[in-house]
Amino acid sequence: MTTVANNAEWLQAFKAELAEDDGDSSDHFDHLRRQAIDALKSEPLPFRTMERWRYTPVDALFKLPLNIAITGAANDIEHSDLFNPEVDAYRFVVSNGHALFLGNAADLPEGVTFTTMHKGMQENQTLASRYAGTAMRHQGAENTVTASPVQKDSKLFQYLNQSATPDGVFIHVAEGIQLEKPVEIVFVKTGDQADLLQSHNLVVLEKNAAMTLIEKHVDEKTSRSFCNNQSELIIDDHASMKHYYLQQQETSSWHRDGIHRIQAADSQYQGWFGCCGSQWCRLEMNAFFTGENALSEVQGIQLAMHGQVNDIHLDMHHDEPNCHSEQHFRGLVAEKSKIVFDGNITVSQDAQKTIAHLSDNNLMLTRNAEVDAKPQLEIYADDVQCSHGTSIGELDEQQVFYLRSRGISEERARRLLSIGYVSEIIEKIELDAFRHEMQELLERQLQASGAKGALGVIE
Amino acid sequence: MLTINDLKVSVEDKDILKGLSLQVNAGEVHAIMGPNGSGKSTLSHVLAGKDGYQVTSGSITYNGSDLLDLETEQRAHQGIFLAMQYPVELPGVNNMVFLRESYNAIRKSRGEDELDSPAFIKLIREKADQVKLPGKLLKRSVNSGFSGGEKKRNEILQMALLEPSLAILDETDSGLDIDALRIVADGVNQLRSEDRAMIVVTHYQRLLDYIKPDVVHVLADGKIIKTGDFSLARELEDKGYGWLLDGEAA
Ligand SMILES: Nc1ncnc2c1ncn2[C@@H]1O[C@H](COP(=O)(O)OP(=O)(O)OP(=O)(O)O)[C@@H](O)[C@H]1O
Ligand SMILES: [Mg+2]
Repeated sequence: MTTVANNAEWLQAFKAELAEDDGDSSDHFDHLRRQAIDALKSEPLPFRTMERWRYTPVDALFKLPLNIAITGAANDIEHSDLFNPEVDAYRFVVSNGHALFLGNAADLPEGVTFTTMHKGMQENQTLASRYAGTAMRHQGAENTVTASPVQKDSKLFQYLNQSATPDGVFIHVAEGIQLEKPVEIVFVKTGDQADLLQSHNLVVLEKNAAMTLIEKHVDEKTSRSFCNNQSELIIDDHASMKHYYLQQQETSSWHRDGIHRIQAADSQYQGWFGCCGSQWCRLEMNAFFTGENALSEVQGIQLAMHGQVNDIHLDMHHDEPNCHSEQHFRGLVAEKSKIVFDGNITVSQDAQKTIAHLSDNNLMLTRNAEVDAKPQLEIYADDVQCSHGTSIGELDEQQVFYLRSRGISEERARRLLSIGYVSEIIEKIELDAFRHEMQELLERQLQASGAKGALGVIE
Repeated sequence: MLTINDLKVSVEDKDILKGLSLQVNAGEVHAIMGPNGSGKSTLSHVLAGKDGYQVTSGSITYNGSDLLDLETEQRAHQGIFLAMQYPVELPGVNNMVFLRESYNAIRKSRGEDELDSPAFIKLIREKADQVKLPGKLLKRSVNSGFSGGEKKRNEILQMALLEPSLAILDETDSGLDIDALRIVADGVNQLRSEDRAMIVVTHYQRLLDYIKPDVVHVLADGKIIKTGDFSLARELEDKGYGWLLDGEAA
């Protein structure tokens, strides 16, 4: 037995508060919530003996003096400058856990519902209750894995989120509707209080629907807050989604995001992820193909340079034949920081003709950094094309010399080469505005790091 | 402009340059020839300030000050340029961005204003035309997947752009087709002026026919063993190095 060496005060307080209210069990959301509350009671804290937490230190999170009641109002900051000015998008802001659609619902094409989870539960209850929880609770095919007595994961954060029924964005696009303008959601934490903030977002694309989703996670100020988010993406037959995701919170904060996705036949999903912020940033992506001929392309970068932990867990489940998934990540790590990449592809027995590739390449800019890359293919079908590969390297001094011999300073040379290293991912970002935003962010982050010697320049 | 005096350099405790002396004045073009492994690239690298070489004795004076005191990029700022024998590939670093960074870094070091993007694009297009470098190579990553000849042209493009006061060309003519050879020669000849100097390392007389160097040196086993005028290059082409090396041994 392992005992956890902290008393997780905020978690205790959170649980105590849950115990006090009892809701209406005939309601779908309340039902989901009850289940999560029960699960939360017995779920152990994440611990490093669990495979999914082996490389991700989390103890300090439970020691934070977190305020579990949401503070701050929805509208207490000016949000216009949080959005990308280059994009004409439908805008949502989720400020301190309160979601708000900034446009006019009357301007939306027919069949498009933009609302918030809390409103959706009241005003669009049939729709919301049809989908909420489906991606998150999707089980997928049973594979012939021998049951292990060892607990591999703790879903504490997922239950924590569900048990509170947090607000978030609710988007529903009816059959055949292709949204021309992207939807941009900015999640912002205002103020400097150490708050626990949660959100639950639900995006549903019915058959043949299409949309582009941009989400950005930012902080207004530095604070030791913890954002624990959950999103469900439900993509029906022939529907397609492009998803741009940028995590750039202050390096004082903690961030966890669980993105659950189910994709039906002939659907397409493309995701670009920039995970750059927070002192601790964990992204869990859990995706299932529930029909044939679906495509998923996920690519991204991880950046950890200021004593940060950047952690990605990716699970792509091929449960149906003839599906194709690509997952490609690159990371930059320096100065007492850590990148964890845990990429898993499971191909069930029935999923013949699966194509799945995974790669994760990392550049260590200074020696006092760590990368734990663990790719895993679990294949139960016999006619598949799958591959995986990871690498960890350092900057090539010949390259640094070449640039310096052309008059470029050493710090700048290292920065150019570092950006060059991840540019393979960045160049493929389809949306120009998002690509520019990511490039600028990287430049800024590396410049700040270079100034502190995190590019290995200061002797 | 450049005075190298009794320079001894070793790499990982192996002596490579063993007392090399060389005087290059402004306005001159020097050719250095010599057998494989004699130390020509080592000399070029030491001049450009590459790490990994230990200068055990001797001195290098450039424009009156100690060159060895300067960092690599400072040497570039002061007008030293090395066209490398094996130009390095920089995947993910856009050639145009690189060229502009380099050009502006050098301008800035001289207290000049940086050139803005449109002005730079105009300039680099002209220079690229001059060295017949296809425009599409400007849009790719630096030297990444370039053919051997394209890499060398990219070096010449940089030389034409940066207009160095001391250019060192380390076998820039190796692996080039005849047209490209002319481009290298033209690049050198265009840059030639009263206040500039050049050191051209080559194995072949053909380049020298176009360039007509003022001085030709033979570098063997870490030392300059013979210095002459352009006719020395002819002689080497005919006779090889054997007669010189025998003389050395005797
Ligand atoms: N990093 C190194 N480690 C060990 N030996 C080295 C290193 N660099 C150069 N040398 C050795 O130093 C000697 C001189 O090499 P250099 O490259 O200067 O020759 P070169 O005259 O340029 O030859 P080439 O005509 O083939 O280009 C060679 O014997 C080479 O193997
Ligand atoms: Mg050489």
